[in-house]
Amino acid sequence: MAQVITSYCKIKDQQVLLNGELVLAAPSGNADIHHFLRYTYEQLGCEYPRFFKMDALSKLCFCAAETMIPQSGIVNRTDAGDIALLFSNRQSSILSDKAHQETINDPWNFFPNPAVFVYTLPNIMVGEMCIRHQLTGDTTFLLSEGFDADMHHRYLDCLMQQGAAQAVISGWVEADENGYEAFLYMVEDSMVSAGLLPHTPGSLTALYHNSKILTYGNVD
Amino acid sequence: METLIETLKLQIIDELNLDHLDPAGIDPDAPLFNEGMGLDSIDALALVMLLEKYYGIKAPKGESMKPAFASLRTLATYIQEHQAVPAEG
Repeated sequence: MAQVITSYCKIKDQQVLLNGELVLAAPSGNADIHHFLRYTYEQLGCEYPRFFKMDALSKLCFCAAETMIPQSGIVNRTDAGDIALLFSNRQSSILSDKAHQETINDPWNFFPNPAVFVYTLPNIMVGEMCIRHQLTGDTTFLLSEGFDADMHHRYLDCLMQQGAAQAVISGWVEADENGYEAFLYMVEDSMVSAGLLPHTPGSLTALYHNSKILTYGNVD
Repeated sequence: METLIETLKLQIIDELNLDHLDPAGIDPDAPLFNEGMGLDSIDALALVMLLEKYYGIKAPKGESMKPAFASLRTLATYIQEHQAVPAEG
């Protein structure tokens, strides 16, 4: 089975790119992550009130998935139970963790808010994506210092080679007080869908670090 | 009562992360859950915490809050009936 990267989406610095093409750029000025993600949600034309309840990490992943998954048509050619999800980041759900901590710091003002603490796990982000796109395959969330293309490649390859998944939606989604970054991509069997690039660590590294369009021939 | 309902709208929007809702567009007699404001089970827990945080009301063990959580108006009524009255003198 030849695995190919069939689509990818990047969100960073107030821009959303799909397969290397700029989808939208927020007006310069307010760089607040919540402001940007709400703007992106509205620009994407979504009608999903649950979005507003999500934490920033889940909203960020939602916007990337909403940009990439529907246009890819992956759910039309692969059973929902055969699409696995493999994600990672460096700081887990740090923004929600801190927000929750603030609600319980003071024993005299101790009011943990369920609307906040339900998001104090990064795999909730993956769950939100599953709910939105009705995906029921294996889900995995890993922590690493940075986007680890080798680890992602090995893990994903294992999922597909062992038959645990026919396709995988994968990526790196990180958000903290200093910034945010989402890099989502999907890998499928080349017999099922034409790919942009072969699924190799080199391809993943190149896509993660570059914004320009990359195709077969200019990536190792 | 109407002032309390308007206050509740703002507190619920803030505590339950519903900032896409316009307070003026919320019907105080519409169901809070499913239809209406579209709240879910997590929101029910958040409402319980809201009652304690802002009104000092602890949800009684073993007693359903379902009647109180029917709408904003029933919630406001519940608060008025259960809020602690400061001791005189």
